[in-house]
Amino acid sequence: MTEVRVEEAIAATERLNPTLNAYLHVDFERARAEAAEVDAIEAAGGAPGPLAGMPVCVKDIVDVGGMPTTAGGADWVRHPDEDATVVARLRAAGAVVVGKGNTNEFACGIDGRNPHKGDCRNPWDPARLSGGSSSGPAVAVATGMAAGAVGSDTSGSIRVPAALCGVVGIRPTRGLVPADGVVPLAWSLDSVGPLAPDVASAALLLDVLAGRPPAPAARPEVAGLRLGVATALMDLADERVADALGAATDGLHDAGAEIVDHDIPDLERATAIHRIVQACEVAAVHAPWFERQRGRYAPGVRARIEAGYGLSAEAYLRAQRHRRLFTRAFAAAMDGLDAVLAPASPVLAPPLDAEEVTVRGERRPVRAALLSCVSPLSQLDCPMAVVPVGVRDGLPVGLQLIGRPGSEALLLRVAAAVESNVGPIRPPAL
Amino acid sequence: MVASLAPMVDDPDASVAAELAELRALADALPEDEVDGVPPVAGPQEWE
Repeated sequence: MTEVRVEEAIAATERLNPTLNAYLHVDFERARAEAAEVDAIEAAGGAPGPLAGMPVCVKDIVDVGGMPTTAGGADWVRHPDEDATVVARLRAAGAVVVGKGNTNEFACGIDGRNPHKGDCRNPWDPARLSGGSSSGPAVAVATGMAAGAVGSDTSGSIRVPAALCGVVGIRPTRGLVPADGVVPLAWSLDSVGPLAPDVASAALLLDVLAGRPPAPAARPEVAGLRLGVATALMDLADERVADALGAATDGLHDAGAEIVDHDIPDLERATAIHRIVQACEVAAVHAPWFERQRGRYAPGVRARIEAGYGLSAEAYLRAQRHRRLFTRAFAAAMDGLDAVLAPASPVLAPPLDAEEVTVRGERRPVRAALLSCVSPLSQLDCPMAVVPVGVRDGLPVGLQLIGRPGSEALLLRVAAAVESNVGPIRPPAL
Repeated sequence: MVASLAPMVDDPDASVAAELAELRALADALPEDEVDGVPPVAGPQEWE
C-alpha cells in the first residue's frame, strides 16, 4: 500500500514538476526502497507508525541525510549525513521523503520566486505566484506530488503559500517543533511546521513534528466559541478575498460560534518591529558566509541581509522590547476570545511577473501586500493556521486563524469546521 | 530549469542603502521611553 502511495506521488512529480518546479531535488530510488521497507513491516504484522506510507516533501532549508541542502541559494550547499530532528521524526513515523522542496533564496522572500533555482509556479494557474518561501512544499501537497510537507514560517512563509495554493498550513507555537538541522532565517521568529491537503493530515503531521503521540482527529465543533474578526486586516483584503472569508465566517456563525470584531493594536508599529528584528537576525545568521556569498545573492535578498549590518544592537534590543509590549497588547485584546480570524493573503495569487497589485483601488508592491496580513503577527510566538475557504476567479482563498500559545488543538477544531463546510479544494488538472 | 520572473534590480548597492535608511527610520520611530524597564524578548513568549 505504501509503495502505491509513493508511486502515485512519484508519477505526479514526473508529470508536473517540470512545469511547477516544486522539487529542487528528488530521490525516487530511495523513496521506493523506503516504501518497500514500510510495507514489509506492515506485512510482518508490525506497526510502521502513524504516517505509514505518507510521501512527504521537505523544504530545502531542512536537512535530510544523504540529500543536498541548498536553501535555494546560488552555489551554496551542504551535504548532511544526519536528518534534522523533524525529518528523523517523520521517518520514524513511517513517512517517506520524496525530495527537497523549492524555497525563496534562504527562505528570504514571500512570493516563491527564485532566480537561482527557478520560480515555483502556482498549480491553479502556472502563470501566477505560488507564494513562499515554503513554495515547493505547498505546491507539492496541492498537486499530489506529496501527501504532506515540512515548511518554515518566519514572516508568513507557511501561511501565504498555503493560502495561494489552497492547502492547510500550520505555523506552530514557537518552540513546539525543533529547528535544529534547519538553516535559520531569523531565530527568534522562525517556526517549523506542516503543510497538507486537509486538516486531519496537517494535524497528524504536527503531532509527529512535535514529537508527541497523535491526538484524536479534531472534531469540527465550534458551538460556544467566541471568535474575533481582525477588522484592520480584513479591511486590507480585496473584494473577492473578503467575500470568501465572509462566507466562511458566516458558516462558523451558523455552526454556533459567536463572531465579534477584534482590534489589532498598532499594525504599523508591529510591522516595523518585525522588520528590524528580522534584519538584525538574518544578518547575524549569514555573517559566516556573507562576504563569500555577497555577489551571488539576488539583489533584493542581499539588500535585506546586508542592511542588518548597519543597524545597532540598541535598535535590535529596543525592537525586541517593543515586541514584548505588542504581544502584551495583543494578548489583552484577545481577552474573552478563543481565536482570531484574518486573511492570510489580502489578494488572490498575483501574476508571476507582477511587481505591484491593486487592492481596493490602491497600488501596492507585491511583497508588501503578501506580507501585510501575516508578518505583523509573526512576532507573537503563538500558533497560526491557514485553511482554504473556497475559490474565487479560479484561485483559492485561505483563512488565517490565530490562537494563544499552545492552542493548536482549538485552531484545528475551527479549521475542521471550516473544512466541513467547504471541503478540501483541488487545483484543476494540468 | 524553470525560468524566473523575479524583478531585476539595476543598482544593488542603492537597494542596500535604501533598505538600511528605511530600517533606521523605523527604528528611530520606536519610542525609547515606552520600553523603559521592559525586557527584550529572548525566547518563546508565554503571553503574560
